Amino acid sequence: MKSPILLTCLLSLSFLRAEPLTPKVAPPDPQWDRLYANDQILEMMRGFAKAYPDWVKLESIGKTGFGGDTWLLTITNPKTGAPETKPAIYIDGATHANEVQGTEVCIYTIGYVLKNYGKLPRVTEFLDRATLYAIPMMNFDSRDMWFKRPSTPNYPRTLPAHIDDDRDGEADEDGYDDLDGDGEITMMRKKVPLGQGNFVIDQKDPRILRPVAPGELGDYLMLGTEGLDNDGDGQVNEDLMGYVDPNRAWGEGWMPRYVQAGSSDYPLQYPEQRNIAQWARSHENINVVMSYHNFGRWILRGPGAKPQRQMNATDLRVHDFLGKEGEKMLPGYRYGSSWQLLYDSYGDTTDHFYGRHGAYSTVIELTGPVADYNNDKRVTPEEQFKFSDEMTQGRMFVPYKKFQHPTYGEIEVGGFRHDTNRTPEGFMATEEFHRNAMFTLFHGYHLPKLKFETPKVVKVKDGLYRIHQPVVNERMIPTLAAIVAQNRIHRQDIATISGGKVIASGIVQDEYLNKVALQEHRPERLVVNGGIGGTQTKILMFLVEAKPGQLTLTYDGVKAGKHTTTIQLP
Amino acid sequence: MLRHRYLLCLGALFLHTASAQYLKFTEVESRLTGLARQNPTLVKLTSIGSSAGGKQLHLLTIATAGAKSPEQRQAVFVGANLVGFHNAGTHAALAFAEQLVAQKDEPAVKQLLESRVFYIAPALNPDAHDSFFAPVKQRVSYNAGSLDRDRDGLVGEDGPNDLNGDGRITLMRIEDPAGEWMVDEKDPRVLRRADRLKGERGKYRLMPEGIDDDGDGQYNEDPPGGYRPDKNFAHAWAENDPEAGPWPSAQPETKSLLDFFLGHRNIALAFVYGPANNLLEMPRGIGVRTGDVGSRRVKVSRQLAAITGLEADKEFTIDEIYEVFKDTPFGRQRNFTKDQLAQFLEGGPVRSPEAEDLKFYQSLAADYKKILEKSGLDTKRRAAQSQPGGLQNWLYYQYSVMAIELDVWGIPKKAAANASPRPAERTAPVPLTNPDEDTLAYLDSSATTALVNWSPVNLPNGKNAEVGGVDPFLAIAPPPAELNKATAAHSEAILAMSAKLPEVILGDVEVKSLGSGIYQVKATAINQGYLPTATVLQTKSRSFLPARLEVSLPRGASLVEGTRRKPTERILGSGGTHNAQWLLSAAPGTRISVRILTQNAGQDSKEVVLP
Repeated sequence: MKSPILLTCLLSLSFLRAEPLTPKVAPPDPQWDRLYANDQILEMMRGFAKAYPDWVKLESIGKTGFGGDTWLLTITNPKTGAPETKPAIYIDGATHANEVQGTEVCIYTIGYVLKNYGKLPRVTEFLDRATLYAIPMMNFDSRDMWFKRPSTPNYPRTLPAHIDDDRDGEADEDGYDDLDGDGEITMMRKKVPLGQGNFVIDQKDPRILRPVAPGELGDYLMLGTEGLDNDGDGQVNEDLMGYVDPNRAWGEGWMPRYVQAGSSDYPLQYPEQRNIAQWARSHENINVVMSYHNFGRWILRGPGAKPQRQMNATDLRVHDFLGKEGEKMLPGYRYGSSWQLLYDSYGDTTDHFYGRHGAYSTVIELTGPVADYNNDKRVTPEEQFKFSDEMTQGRMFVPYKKFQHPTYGEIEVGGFRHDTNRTPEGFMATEEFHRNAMFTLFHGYHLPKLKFETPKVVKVKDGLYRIHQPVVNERMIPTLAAIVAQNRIHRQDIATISGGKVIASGIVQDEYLNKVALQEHRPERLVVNGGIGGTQTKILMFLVEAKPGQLTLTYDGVKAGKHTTTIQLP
Repeated sequence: MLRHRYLLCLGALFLHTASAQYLKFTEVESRLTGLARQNPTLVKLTSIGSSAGGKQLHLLTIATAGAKSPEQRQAVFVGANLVGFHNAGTHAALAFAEQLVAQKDEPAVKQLLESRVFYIAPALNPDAHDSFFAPVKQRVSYNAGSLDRDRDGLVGEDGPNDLNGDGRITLMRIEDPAGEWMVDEKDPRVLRRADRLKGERGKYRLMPEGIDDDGDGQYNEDPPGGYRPDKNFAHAWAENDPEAGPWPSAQPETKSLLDFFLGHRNIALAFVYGPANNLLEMPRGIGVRTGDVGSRRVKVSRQLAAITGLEADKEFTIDEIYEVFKDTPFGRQRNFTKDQLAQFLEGGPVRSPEAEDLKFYQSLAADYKKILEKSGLDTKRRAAQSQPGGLQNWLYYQYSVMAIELDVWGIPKKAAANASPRPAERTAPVPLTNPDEDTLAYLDSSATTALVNWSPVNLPNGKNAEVGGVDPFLAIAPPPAELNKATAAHSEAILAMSAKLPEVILGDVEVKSLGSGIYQVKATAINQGYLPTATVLQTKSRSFLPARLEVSLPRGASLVEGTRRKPTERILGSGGTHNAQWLLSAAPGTRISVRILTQNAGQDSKEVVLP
């Protein structure tokens, strides 16, 4: 075979030789029917780094607001190149601290690829030619609190920060209180004389309050989440920890607080986000960002808000392909822009990593309503209790207990536990973690994969050669998102020749009609405008002064890696 | 219509004699150190952070001992030269600090020093500061570091080159039939674009003085250096300008300033010495949408549909949506105004100054102009608008205080009656891109040596070119005599405006016994200052705490109704009031206290014994 020796060929050979990894110590192998607190997760992350020290790097990329760390794992085959030289996927979890199970998806994915390298060809290819970056616990300190302190399915969600929400001069002075000391923040309700309430007890199930019907007198009040008027200002629970929303304070499309609640005083003001943004600046090889949230089974891309500029049309095609395949891989999930499917929000993760980094960025809203027995897209209290009673033997619900409240007098405290509804029940967790890990690997499969086809080499005259080198991107993600040029994010792909002097260069427009878009300046650094699209080919033309023998052509993409091929000159 | 013209220079070679008066960064530092050392009780020198190059962002805190600690007093901020090439601003800020110290015993100054605090940061872009003194002069705004400005994968590989060796980067023209530029027939100094519609032919290509070092066909497009902190603030930030930073607030100078302001909520008035002048030209806003907010039509999103019951994906006017929205639990809870709803639905914060706030800008401008005119300074001259993504815009639109950018000096208006109309551009006019009548007249009368003759140079590619233009600092750095006159006038103006800060006090606290141990307490807070306690914009942005009138009760006393704290977003100046009343249950002889609290308009308290 006279064709060039291809790096990709070498890689394929290495696939054939790939053996399953031999861990130095037993790697973590957790059960996936439950959720894990931060120290347990960190133990697993350390375990991967210990078991596969050459393949897994664990590091802190900065401190977090209340003294934790932003822990990053970097995973790739060290023999096929350093992490930054390969196309990459970044995944994270628990941006909103209460949306804890994104962490488990990250850890599951990491365990899966390490366990199956050398066994399953697609996993092997992934770790050989790509890098996986993971920050499983983005909002580290608050996620820790969700496990360790009394919390709710929705709280804490904020970054760890003291914000004076009620603008009274004191910050976080009136949060929830675990009145009955059961370790759960539930709800408060109060029985009142008939006519003074606007709810009544459901006749079939006393755990359910239902609003009064017309003509009916009520004898119950809903008093909201468990808590006191700690600061004596006549309001209950009006100044919780935060609020700084770690998914509303990124650097693209940021809006001040009075437009976007939780956006903080300026973009990336708090360390959890800034650590990641700063780190990502020196990791421009990231093509794909997947951030795991809950709830509702959505595959969300940007833009976060309707008034923002729409996504570049070329990039949208790529996103649509990935997202629609995701709908098939993740039953019940729907794909689209977050403002269309959910609501307007500014300063999102997806917008930041797309607009500031040129990465195809997706927020996955894990877990959906499980108790929707009649599929009418809503879960009634009856359905919720049926699921809790029958499928969890009542685990989900804390029965109402009487409590003497300093403001409201005798009340009842009870409701759904914090680890219900938004997080999956154990028996349902494994499948969801697995499917999402596979969706990440689906993105990994479609990271740009370049192949040099057989070049056409014409000897124009002695010492002058014309080379047409086709470069194919075999997968669906382009070597460079179109937004990179539009927002001037970083350089474009560049092709160079060594072993000869480049007289002219360009991109072939039509091979048969001899049309070439010549590059007027600096032909020795051929800029491949827009890179090479998904499953597309570009033919690079070089007119080179050289002696018979060999030339090396290098294709250098920030997000596609550096690839070289050797060209024989007759 | 603007004519795009460039100057062809006839004048003699010129070296900027003003340099002697301007201070290098290290000289600024020693002046600051000296001032603090000589006045240890009055002046404190600290740093709010470091530049990208590791130099200090120095801050003077000037206040004398008084009834209140400096942190409790209303503060005036004066910051200068974040843009890097506005060395006149540094001079003015430093002169102001030195004047405060020198006049500390004069009654007006003494009173201010005892009741206010001045924060003065005269050199906010230390890495760029000395470009004015560099062997080759050019306007530099970027901090230290590296940036691939032209996104070609090579960093800082094509900076300017002083081809004619005159110590300044000016312009370069190359004779080329394909060029767009021709010599203006009326003024041979000026190059202007040929109008092919009129049959005119171009004779020259025009570019900045330099070599295409990296051979990419562009000249000086990637000089060494980092980002521009003066473009790195979040209001109207330019997302696809590499120099503006990877995201707003990313630069150390920017972030240090943000953290300083957010940590010093006592600031009520901020002055920024920079290339714009908000008192000679009122701030016009950036990306302003005109017309009535309510009549604009927007499509209703799914979520808004769920909240309001309106049909999703259908268009309604903002008035229609607001009618429904304001009565929803969500709308009531957050007390949304129509403006806020429009801002959320249409994707943006406030873009133009609030009309009521502009009235105060105008009022301050009137006083300012009087002071300038008294000193013989021109108040009719051109003035630029503040930079998008700049400090002044952030201070007004997001921090939400009265913020005033002042350029100290500018090219005076041409005396002749037939002066050209003012151009409508909003960023700093660089004189060479638009040699207006004023600039030409100024060159004729006062700066004849600022012109650099076209002189032939040989380019590395063998081509001939001519280099010439005007001094890059012509329009922004006045000669020493003018500079001193202008800074003195500005110090006087800032001192005068500093006397107009809001100042809340408690008026009479009326107590009425209603019998049976029930008392009615009425209190009034009065703003004795000229400026309101908050800008109108602040009442929307809510970036400061409201003014809070509150009563404190000892054990045993209680409120019959309601809460002890009565907030308001804004108390007007010149005697504007905020009232509150409480009904108490307490024993006779109980001592209660009433306080008015603000972050940047003062605070006051009174104790009352119930009869």
